[in-house]
Amino acid sequence: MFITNLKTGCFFLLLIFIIQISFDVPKKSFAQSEQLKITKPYIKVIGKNAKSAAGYMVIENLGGEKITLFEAVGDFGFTMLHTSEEKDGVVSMIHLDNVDIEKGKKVKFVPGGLHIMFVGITEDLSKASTKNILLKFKNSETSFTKTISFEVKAK
Amino acid sequence: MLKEKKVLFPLLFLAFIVVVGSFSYNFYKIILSEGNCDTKTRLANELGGEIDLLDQNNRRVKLSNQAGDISLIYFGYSYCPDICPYDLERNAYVKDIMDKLGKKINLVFVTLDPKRDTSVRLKEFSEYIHKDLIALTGTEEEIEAIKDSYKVYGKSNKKDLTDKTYLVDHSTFTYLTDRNGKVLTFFNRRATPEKISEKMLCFL
Repeated sequence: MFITNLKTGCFFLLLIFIIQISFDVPKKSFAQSEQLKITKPYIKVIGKNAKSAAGYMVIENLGGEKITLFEAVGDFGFTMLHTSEEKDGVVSMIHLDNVDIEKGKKVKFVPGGLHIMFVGITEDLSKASTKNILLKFKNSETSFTKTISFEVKAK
Repeated sequence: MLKEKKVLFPLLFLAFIVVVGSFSYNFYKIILSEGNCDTKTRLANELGGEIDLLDQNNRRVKLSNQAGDISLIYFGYSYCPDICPYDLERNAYVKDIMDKLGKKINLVFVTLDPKRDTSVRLKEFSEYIHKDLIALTGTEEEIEAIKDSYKVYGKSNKKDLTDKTYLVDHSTFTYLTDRNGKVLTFFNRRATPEKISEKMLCFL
């Protein structure tokens, strides 16, 4: 080891302490919306003039308490939170009022499972490259929103 | 004591060899039987039948008049956002595999939602899925008759059909049929394109 004396040892301990603090502090002062990390947002669109589509993403809760997604809003149709369920080869869509993201957990919206369902679409999404979706969240104290740019995948 | 040990170890070793050997043999047999074309996999009961409906070009088409000797048929609806596209894309991939092998098959989609899935809508839909997709619609009575002969489940989740945003709960099996629509076997959602292709080649 190169820590040969007390002085260097203390210096290293201090250094580690400072590094830890510098990582810790901003985490605690996160705004609510910063506690959520949303990755891989995209909307799958089937053909021209599709009247329905599905949106997918991964939401990660970096904060210290449960956060709930309760609404998604787009300017091109109605949206709902859905999950697809399969039983004996029959698939049904279940409407969800809330999707909970527990602290420190990831919730994946993926094909065949959770998705944002878009219906009554009023524009030809196959011509768009991205679409903004407003996501509404709440925790035990308050509600807040996050606008996410979803990539449109229409081939 | 020492003598007993001398006998016990070779015996235990032999038992070990026998157990491992028979296990691997059976395992090998299972793998082999999945890969081969056991005719027992043909369905015993009669399922399916001729399909005579309108395609995406608004032409009346019959399954028995198509270019391929066998068909891969999926039942769904074009407004289905989360399930049908993925199942159909997988089937389209099977079609590509067969094309590469020089085997003619028909890639077929039959709507369970004839009210909204008109020929015009199916044209846009089929352009996305595959250039050779045969996308079919008809009157509600025609679709009901086909649902009955293929034992397909499909039901709107809303009673008020004037609300255009209704969804359809439906079965997600993909059927492999002969020229006359007789079902040879079927696949669930989890079947891979490779597995379907392998099974398909048994019937070609």
